[in-house]
Amino acid sequence: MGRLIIILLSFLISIVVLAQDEPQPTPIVVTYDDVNAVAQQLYCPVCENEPLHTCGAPACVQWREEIREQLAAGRTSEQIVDYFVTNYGDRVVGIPQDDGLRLLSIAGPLVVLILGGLLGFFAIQRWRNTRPMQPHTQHPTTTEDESYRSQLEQDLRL
Amino acid sequence: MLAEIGVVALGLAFIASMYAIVAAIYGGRTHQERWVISARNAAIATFPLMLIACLVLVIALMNGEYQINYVRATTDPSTPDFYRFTALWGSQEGSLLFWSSIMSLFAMLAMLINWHNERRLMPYVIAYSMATLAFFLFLSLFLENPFERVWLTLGEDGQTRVVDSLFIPPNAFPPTLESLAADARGLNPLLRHFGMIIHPPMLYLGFVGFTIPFAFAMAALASGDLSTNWIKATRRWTLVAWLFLSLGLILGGRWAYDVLGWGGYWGWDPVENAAFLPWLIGTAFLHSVMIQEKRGMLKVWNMFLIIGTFSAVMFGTFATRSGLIESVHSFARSEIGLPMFIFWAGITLVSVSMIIWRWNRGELQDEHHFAGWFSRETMFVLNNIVFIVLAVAIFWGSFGAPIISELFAGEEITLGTDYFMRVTPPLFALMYILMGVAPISAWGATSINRMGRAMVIPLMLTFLTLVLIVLLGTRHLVALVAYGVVSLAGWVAVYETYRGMMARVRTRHENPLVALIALFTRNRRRYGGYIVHLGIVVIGIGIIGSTLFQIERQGLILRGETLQINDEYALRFDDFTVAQANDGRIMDIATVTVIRNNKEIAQLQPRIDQFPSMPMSIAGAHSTLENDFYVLLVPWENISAESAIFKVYINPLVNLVWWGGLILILGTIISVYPNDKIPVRVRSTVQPQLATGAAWGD
Repeated sequence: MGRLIIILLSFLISIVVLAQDEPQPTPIVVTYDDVNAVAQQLYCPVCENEPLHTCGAPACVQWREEIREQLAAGRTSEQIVDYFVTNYGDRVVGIPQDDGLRLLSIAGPLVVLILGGLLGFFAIQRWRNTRPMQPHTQHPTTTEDESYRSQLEQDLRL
Repeated sequence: MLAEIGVVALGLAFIASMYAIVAAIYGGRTHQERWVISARNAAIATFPLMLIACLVLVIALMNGEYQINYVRATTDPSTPDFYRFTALWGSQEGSLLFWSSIMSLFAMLAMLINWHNERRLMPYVIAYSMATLAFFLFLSLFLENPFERVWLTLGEDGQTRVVDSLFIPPNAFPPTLESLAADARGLNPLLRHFGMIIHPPMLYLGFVGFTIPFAFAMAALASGDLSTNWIKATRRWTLVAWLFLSLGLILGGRWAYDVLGWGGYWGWDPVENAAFLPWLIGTAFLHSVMIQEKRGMLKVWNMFLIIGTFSAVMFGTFATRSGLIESVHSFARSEIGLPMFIFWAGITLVSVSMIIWRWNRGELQDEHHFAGWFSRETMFVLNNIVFIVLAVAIFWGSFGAPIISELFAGEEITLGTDYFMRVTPPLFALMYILMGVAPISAWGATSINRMGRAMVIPLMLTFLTLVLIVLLGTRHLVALVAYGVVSLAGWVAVYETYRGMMARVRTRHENPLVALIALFTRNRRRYGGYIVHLGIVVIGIGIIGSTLFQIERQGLILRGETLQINDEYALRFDDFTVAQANDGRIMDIATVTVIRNNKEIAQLQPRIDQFPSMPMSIAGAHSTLENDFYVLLVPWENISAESAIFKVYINPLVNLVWWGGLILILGTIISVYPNDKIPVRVRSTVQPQLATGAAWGD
């Protein structure tokens, strides 16, 4: 009987020790806000320009579930976004991650801004340095306007 | 019978517009006035014809003539009368017809209003406006006909086949009314909203309105009358178009906020952006023409701007209707894609070529030169650059980069809010800074000292505003900079109006109210403009608040329990019911209570409308000037009487966006409002002189 108790006790102790050696992972609680925080960085694969966190398409429901699972598995927001870009291409993010496409996207307006600024600067400089042209003589509109205005003003003063 | 009347009216309008083009050009080139008058009459006749075509379609929609495909696609037997009427612009074919009708109305009004004063320009105004109309009528007649009907034919194998045709095919018979009504699809649920009812007509009025100044500009280039006549003739047309386009954009934002269920009003969607582009270029034009009027400068630039505005209108119409937004490939598959592209590219090319032609002949030279870096001319040029760069950046993000990437890299990309929120804020900040500085500068030359002195009081008021904002609890640095820039523009507008009023009080000894009214009456354009600036400032404050300080929270709530949103707000789920609306849709309605600092402040009913084609989440909102508490019922999981998922947005200052819109509209109306009539005695003595100047031809 005593031997049996010793065997049982040592069995129980070994279970406890084993259990301590391999601790159970604590489950990560994923809220809707956590899912939305990642989904906000992604776009619907079906609807044009529709952010994932607001889209009701069935594909988006699946993707949000996938985000939830990946968050629960401990993956970071960046890892999840990278996963979707790798699998579905650069169209699922608001700015492409591919270096070339990213440069194409951002550099376009910058170039226009710089060109526009330079153009404006040189245009104003040129305008400042040039002599004014006489109004086109074949269209006597300005003088007509002046006589019209002076007559109008005269009338209004009466 | 109804369909036949509609098609005939449409066909006659097309013939009249084509005739008007030919007669106007012939009359203009050969100086034969009777041809020009005939062209004018034909142009005017397009409006009653288009009115008949529209009325026919409305009657068909109201009476449920489901044999007409368009009626079947946009209504069903349960559609209320109001939505039956608005279904006129509820889909492609009807909206194109409606577009053409507005175009014919504007053309008719331009003929009636500008005929006597701008006789030299009118032949070409007729030609250009009718060319645009004829193109859209061509689309309606041959590619997107709203009167096409459905027929049944018996094949040789005895099987019944469905055929779509304008006129009755051989051996065909109409389907039974019951089967037609059963197949009717009804209006897109997203369009069943007040904002969406008014938004498209406003947008069309804005789009079409810009055709008139464009036609005048082209007429100036074609006729050789390159004085400021075309600008004076079109100032109000431009402002009216700008007013409607602004209204259309604001209503579109309101519709998105109420119906799309994402807590925002501007998603940088390509469709929205396509409508925003002509607004940006048109705004640059509105400012730039003042330089030509006052100083005889920027003649070429103004031509480019109005062509750019019209081109943006055409591009927006083309991009949103051809499928270009979805993909360049769907554009190629679209029936109207190629004709629209050809028209847009063709008219832009012709217009630009005409400018270059006149420019090379030395007929578009400036009459004055820029006097200083701080003159109003310089400020307006800088303002123009900012607007154009904004337009290019938005065009690039919405169309340019995605199309280039798809065509040349074979990769579809999306440039979303991330892109636009990086690129546009600095440009908008520059726009507000110029809005603050430009009204203080003077035409000709302004010294930096003079400008500095004029800026002292608005800068002090801006500083006090910022102190107040900090005292109210805002510490966000970007927000403080943004509020500072925006409020400076507002204070300058207020201070300039105050200065004008006080000048009258001092010199004419009027009381301040009389002086203020007199100020607005004497110079509606300037002071109406300041009110528009104030409207833009109020919109800016609303956008900063609702963008930088938006709170978003989503969670599942058991009935009777509460979700804490932040330290201040909470939401309690009280009840859930299912109801059926008159039009047959099932509504899942939740009743929730908004709690602020432990006090119940409002009860809301967010709901999901189950339409056969799609569910729609309709928000419940508690609106105050301080913020909107905006609740959505989210169908991510099953909604029941026991639990439901809610998404809550707290949008600070969002209502200022709508209030600012109203102020902007008020200011524009003041600017557009006609000045006092010229006394008859003056008109009678001046008119003969003007008439002698109205020579024909080049």
